[in-house]
Amino acid sequence: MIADPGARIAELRAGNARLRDDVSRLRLFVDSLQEMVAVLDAPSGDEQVTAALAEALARAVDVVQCESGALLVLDEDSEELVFVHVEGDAAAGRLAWQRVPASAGITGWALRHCEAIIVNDARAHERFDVRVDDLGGRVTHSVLAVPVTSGDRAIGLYDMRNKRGRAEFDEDDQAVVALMGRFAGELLQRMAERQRQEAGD
Amino acid sequence: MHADDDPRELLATLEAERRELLGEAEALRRFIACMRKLIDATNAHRSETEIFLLLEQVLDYAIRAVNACDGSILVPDDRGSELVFVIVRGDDPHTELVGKRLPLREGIAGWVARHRRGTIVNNVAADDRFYSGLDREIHYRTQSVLAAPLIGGDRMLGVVELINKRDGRLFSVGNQALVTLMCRFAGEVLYSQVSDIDLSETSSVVHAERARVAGREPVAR
Repeated sequence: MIADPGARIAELRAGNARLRDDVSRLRLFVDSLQEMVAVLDAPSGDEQVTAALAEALARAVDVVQCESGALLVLDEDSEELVFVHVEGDAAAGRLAWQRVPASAGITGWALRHCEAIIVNDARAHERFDVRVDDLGGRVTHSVLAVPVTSGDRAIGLYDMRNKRGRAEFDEDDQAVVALMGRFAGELLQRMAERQRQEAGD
Repeated sequence: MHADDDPRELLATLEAERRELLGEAEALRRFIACMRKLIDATNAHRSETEIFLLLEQVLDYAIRAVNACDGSILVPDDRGSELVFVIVRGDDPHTELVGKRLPLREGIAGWVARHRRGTIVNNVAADDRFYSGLDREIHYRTQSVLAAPLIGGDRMLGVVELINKRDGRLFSVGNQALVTLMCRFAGEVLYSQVSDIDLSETSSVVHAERARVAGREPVAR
């Protein structure tokens, strides 16, 4: 027998509302993956590719519950990473199309080693580079960086910043972003090939 | 009486909703974990046996992700005229199905292999594609099926079948989306790792080894 059914009902209602949000975010993320696959499977233009990439990033920021997420693509000529898609807070908006040295910071390490990294106390980390914070006008607490690969080569990366509520990024978050990164790599590669082909024609 | 009027009834409704939501959130997270595993598998070379065991895991994840009772993976034989059961998993797996063959022109799995696309059949008795011979043979009752092709390198490498949604529920389009994405990656892993893998042969080797090990183990009293 429950001592206070009213309190238990209130608790269940609140808990179920949170679970519904959680399920909804996950479903939308899976939908965005499907959309990426659909774009991969059909002859698609750059516009559809970029729309699918942007949608997936937005959904991943929701699922991972962080303040911002960005897709950076490697410019091999200048050895820089370019923020091609940004999602989240105002700081993220200021980063659009900015460039940072490809070797700098935690993200530079992830790119060089073609390996994901979680740093939950970013400012204290030896590899932390303050440039992205300066460009965006924010203070980074935590970073999840996941390379975007084509074959065994990193061609860019996802940079997720500041898990909400000062929580820590974990393996589940990394799995979500890695999954998106796998599809993104194929999409970016496809787009680059098409552009090369068009430039040659 | 409306559930809101009776606290006990309302509690029961909310508890049931909680269980359902927890189950769905867990299934979606399992799906993400499974996909992650598949991605990792594409980044490292695996032996045929490792690939086979990975596919068993994929099938286990798929069964749990869509809340099915059982599942199987079938692959085309050398001549491409039959499908062979290579993996059978679930609550009480009918492992006697391993090695059994189905003509490609028959059954829901055959249809999926021929058309290279997935399907949901929530009432097999009303579907002409359903082949009931196997049910009779193994004393099983198939009610619903969700099936998807394993395609890699543009080749039809197999079919994943999930059987009987739990609690008499129906397979949904959302379930199909999860399984299709899983199969896409599993197909890619299969193709990228060993394009000429003979799953039928690997299945025989793995099952024979398991039977040998099981036979050696002392019988529990």
